[in-house]
Amino acid sequence: MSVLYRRHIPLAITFICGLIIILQFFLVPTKITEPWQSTVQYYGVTLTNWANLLANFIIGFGVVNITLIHVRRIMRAKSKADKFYSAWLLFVMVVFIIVGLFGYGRMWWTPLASNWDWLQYYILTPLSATVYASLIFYMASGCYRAFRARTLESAVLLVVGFLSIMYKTPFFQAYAPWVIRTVDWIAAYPAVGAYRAIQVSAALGAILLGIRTLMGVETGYLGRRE
Amino acid sequence: MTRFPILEVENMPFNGLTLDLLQIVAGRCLDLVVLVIVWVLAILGVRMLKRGWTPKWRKIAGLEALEEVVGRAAEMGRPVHFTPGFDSLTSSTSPQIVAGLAVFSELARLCARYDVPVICTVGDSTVLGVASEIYKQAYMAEGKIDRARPEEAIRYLSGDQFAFTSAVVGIAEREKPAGNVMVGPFYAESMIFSEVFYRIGAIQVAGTARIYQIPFFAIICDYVIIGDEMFAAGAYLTKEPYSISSIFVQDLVKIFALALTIMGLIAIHLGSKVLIDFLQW
Amino acid sequence: MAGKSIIDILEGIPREVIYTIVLIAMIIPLLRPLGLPVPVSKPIRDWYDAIESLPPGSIVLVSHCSLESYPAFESMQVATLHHLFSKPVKLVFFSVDITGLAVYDTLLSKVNPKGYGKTYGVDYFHIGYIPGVETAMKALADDFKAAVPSDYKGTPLSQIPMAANIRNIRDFAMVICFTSAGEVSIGWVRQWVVIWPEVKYLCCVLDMMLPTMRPYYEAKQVTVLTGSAAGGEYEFLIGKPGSGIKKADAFTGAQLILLVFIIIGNIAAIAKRMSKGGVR
Repeated sequence: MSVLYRRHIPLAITFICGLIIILQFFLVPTKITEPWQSTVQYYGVTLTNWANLLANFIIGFGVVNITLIHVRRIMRAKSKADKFYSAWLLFVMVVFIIVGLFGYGRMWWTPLASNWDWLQYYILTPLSATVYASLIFYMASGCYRAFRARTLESAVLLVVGFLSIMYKTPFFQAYAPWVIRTVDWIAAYPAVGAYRAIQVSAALGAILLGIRTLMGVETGYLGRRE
Repeated sequence: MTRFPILEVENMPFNGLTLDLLQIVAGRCLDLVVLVIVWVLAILGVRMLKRGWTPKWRKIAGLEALEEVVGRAAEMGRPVHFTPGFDSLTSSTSPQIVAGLAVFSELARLCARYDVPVICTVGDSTVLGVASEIYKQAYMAEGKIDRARPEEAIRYLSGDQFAFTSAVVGIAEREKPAGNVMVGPFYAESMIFSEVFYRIGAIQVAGTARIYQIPFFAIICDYVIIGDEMFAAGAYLTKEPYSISSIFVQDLVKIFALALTIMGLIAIHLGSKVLIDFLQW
Repeated sequence: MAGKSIIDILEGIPREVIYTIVLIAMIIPLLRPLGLPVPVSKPIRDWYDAIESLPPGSIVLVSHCSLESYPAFESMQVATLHHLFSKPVKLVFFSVDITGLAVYDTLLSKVNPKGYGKTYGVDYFHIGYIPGVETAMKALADDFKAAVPSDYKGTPLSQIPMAANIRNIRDFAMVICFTSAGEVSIGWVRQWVVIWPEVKYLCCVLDMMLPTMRPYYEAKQVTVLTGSAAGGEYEFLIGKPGSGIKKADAFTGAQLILLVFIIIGNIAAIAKRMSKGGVR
């Protein structure tokens, strides 16, 4: 009974749902002409909607996890800084939840709506943009360390990387147009060829992973590897 | 559209065989034929395996290095960090997350075997439950379920990309893992993760099928798993017959694609569009 | 530092020093523009020409970026909108991200369509956020009115004059996409260009995504492909200088410093190998 419940039933559900989506892709055209096509379309769209609904409701699971981890840290951490940061995280999370639930325009309570926008525009977005902008510093130290001609491959990487940086610099675009022609050629021929090869093989890998999932061989998504 | 449209449909497909079943959408016939052939070949491959055929595997250095990562962490008395990327199991990159979780399954078993703490950071709640279950199963398989601490090991950080990134950086700086394994879909945070974990001296194994993040991993991480090597991880690590045969079939299809490319090149230069029409069938 | 030769120091410059110098190299041009040349590259010229060649009355779908990537795309989006609003074309704005509506408000406050004599509902409108990325794109292509019952404010499409003639993808002359997500930039190819190759597709992505989109550009599925950093060139071309030109100097400064560090690192590594036998 345990194996039936924990393995066979989930695999059967996976197979049936996957089959419906595959049938929808291959049998339902953009302009539906037959009644059975609209049936297949209906069930395919319903499954997709259920998946989106599940994904949104499961966010609550994440909130519980965060709360447990940080409450535990507040109780057990030795460092006062760790306790403070965890407490601050929980406080900010509660603020966002309350304003999000009761302050989103046209949802609950309009007076708080501008507060949600304020949190979004003046706190979340600048913080995200700051972390994103810090990429340049990590790239600078990464490039300085990695672009070294130790072997033939690393020398090729150095030359192409160097030219690519020159290509995107307005100064060299003005005074060294040969860089533009060279990098354009590299981007149009060798890079595109390599990219297409990796993309085709990655797509094939994803397809075979999908087939293994439908066959019940790949059970990683069930949380067990058998 | 009514609540139960199937009751109102006249030409129901399971009312005996009808020609309606053969009305494949234009432009997708070749896709369906290839899908069916691949499926059949995968099953045939299993039969060949059971008759004693053993395919030769190319070593995937990144997957072979998992034991090295855990061993190093055991020597240094520090944890191992793993992340399957930032996306959701309902997104278009879910195959990459599933592939990442297959790697986590093996990593968690190794960590259970050598008593190394593992920190699995996830950026989506849909992955949280699966990762917890994998973690518990791994410890159970090693007979150490009493030492499993999923509430400490599996951490949902944030659904926002850069909040997730900042949290992982914070974990790296505070807990200083000796090893970092990142297998899954990564975005701009790939460079940040690689640099930060390099800075703290962690050995790194990274893999993604998002092509434009591969160079960032390649220049910094110790081991890189590129594109379809990641999707082969489950088969590579379990050596399960169906999985192995599917990898073999994958390689056959790649050869077929290469042959089509060469034939198409020749055909186009001879002025014929027959292969283009065939691919659009 | 004691006991370390100059070669050792140059080969292993601390990251704090690198970060500080890169930061200074970016801040100085922002505070005091250096006036370095901003040449207009071919992709930007093609972008400009594609918009210039739009027949009067054309309908253009503008898929703008999300809030967190707004700083990267600001100059390119603002300049593009200045150009589009100066033309006798109609715009439909669309957001693939829920935070996109904030971007729309910010963009219009910078561009000021009223200054061009444009009126909301007559010359442009926003259809809001539709979840599902490619599903949303496909829905818009198949049946615009079924996918979009109202604009982002909730006004029914029947009350928006310019929406009367929009039925599906065939009514659009061009789609312009600004995105940092590969799924979005490739999604437009899959769901729009493949179905209706007559629609022109102008794609602006982050510079690191250019190699990803290049195969589609080579296959002529993307009409014009450019990176977000080229905003300064476009501002220069249309004669509307803004933040892009200012950032171009900072960009040049940072890139030049990066090149200098790479050269220093390689010279030091080679010198060390030659003097001591290459011990790392």
